[in-house]
Amino acid sequence: MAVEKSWMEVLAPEKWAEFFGRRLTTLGDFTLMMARVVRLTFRRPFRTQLLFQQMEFIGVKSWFIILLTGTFTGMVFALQTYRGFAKFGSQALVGAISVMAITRELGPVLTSLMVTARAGSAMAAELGTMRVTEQVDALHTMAVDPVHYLLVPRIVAATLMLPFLTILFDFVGTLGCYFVAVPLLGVDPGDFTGRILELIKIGDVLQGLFKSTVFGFLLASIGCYRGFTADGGAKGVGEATVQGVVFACITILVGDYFLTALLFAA
Amino acid sequence: MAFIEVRGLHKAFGGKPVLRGVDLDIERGRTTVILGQSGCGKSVLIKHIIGLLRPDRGSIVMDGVDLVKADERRLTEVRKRFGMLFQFAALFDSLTVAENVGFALREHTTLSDGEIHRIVITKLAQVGLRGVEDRYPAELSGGMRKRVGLARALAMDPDVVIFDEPTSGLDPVTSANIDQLILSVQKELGLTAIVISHDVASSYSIGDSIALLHEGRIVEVETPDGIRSSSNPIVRQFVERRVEGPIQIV
Ligand SMILES: Nc1ncnc2c1ncn2[C@@H]1O[C@H](COP(=O)(O)OP(=O)(O)O)[C@@H](O)[C@H]1O
Ligand SMILES: [Mg+2]
Repeated sequence: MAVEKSWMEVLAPEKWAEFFGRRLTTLGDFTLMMARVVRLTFRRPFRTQLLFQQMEFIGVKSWFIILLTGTFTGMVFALQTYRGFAKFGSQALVGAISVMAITRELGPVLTSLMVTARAGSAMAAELGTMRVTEQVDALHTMAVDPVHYLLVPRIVAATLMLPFLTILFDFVGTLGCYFVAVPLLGVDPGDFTGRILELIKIGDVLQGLFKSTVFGFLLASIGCYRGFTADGGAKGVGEATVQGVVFACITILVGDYFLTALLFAA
Repeated sequence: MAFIEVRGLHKAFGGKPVLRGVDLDIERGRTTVILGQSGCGKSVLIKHIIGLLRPDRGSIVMDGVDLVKADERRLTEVRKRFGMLFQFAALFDSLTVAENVGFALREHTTLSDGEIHRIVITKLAQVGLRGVEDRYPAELSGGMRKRVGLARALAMDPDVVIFDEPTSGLDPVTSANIDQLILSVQKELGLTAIVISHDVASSYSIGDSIALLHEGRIVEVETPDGIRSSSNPIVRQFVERRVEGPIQIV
């Protein structure tokens, strides 16, 4: 026999309240911790050695995957835009359109997603492991602030390195586009570069670099925060890593829309 | 007045009470063993003493300073007087043994690298280790890791050293060895030692006094002999390793 349920039971407002309440609490906690990270960034001692280690890990060791993804993104964009633009006889625009898309959107977004996959995940896993094996507590008992020691160098390094990786992406993306458009598809090289110089402004590039700086901060802070708050042994570290990466990717994609809208409004 | 006085300490996690009014005195220069069933809140208790956790209620007074009311800066100073050996050593696995042991010295003193290295070698010798400075924690056995953890805890010449289950996960011979080490280091340096344990035999051999934590409270504090002859049914069940009794496994 079916049990009658009242609308209140079906809608379960208190469960929804709890669900959103927990998320709001986490968001508040995250915001407070990031405020601390910003404050502690300017607090002595400056851990330059740790910062350089992280810059090397995030920046130097990511260059190859950025090279690869950038080149192929530029190449495929040339193919796609050529198909569309050939219908209107405006093949000459292939370069300009591709470069605009790369510098404004694809460069910052794809670079950030790749770095999230590589370094954001590593941050969540490493800090998560340190949390569940009490290494974070050990830092604390030795009177060292774990946020200052662990989070600040990672987040600062990611914020600093992302624009450089994005410049690399933009550069090889443009080259990839050129090699498909000009030698393979027969676009006139003079037209290709002429239209780029005519239509692409330095502002397009700077806008992309600004976005990637913000994404660098976000991906590292989300990865670090999730790892730092991990609990429950190896399984907890696994969950923290997955959630850190997924949250960071979603934040980058959603944040990209709002940042772009904001930049257009300004 | 005792060196460290814990009074009415309450702590719950997500509505689940773990500590329900702990009262405990820690005497200076002595070894206090906190004995209790796995998961009864021993680690939680000592994390309050060292200021890693804040209680819901209660006070911890050390040398007249209330650690619960102290601000973070004050706590940082207090923490430098503590050394802690964690249950699984909690060595920094990205650092070598020497870097682990010298960590606090590098952070809090202006000693040169050479001086730090000399202290590191001395501390490692004190715990019976030689020639492992450049190894990473992953390359050490469980017993060696605990020793390195102890050397790290001793690096800043602390007044109080806390040992969280120093012998758990070790074989009986290595355990006896670590017990011996704790005893000799404690005597030699005149440390105040707090040892968390669920191992009755080891508590008898190292403790000046033994406190039994049960259901969030200290139910008995006695000398090892006092514990042996105690008529408290909780103590009896724990000491005699019986299944039946007031201690229920949930
Ligand atoms: N940070 C925490 N958050 C939630 N629960 C915790 C936390 N730390 C400990 N607990 C819970 O408190 C209880 C006691 O844990 P613990 O002190 O580690 O036991 P033990 O006596 O074996 O050291 C356990 O049930 C544990 O799950
Ligand atoms: Mg424990």
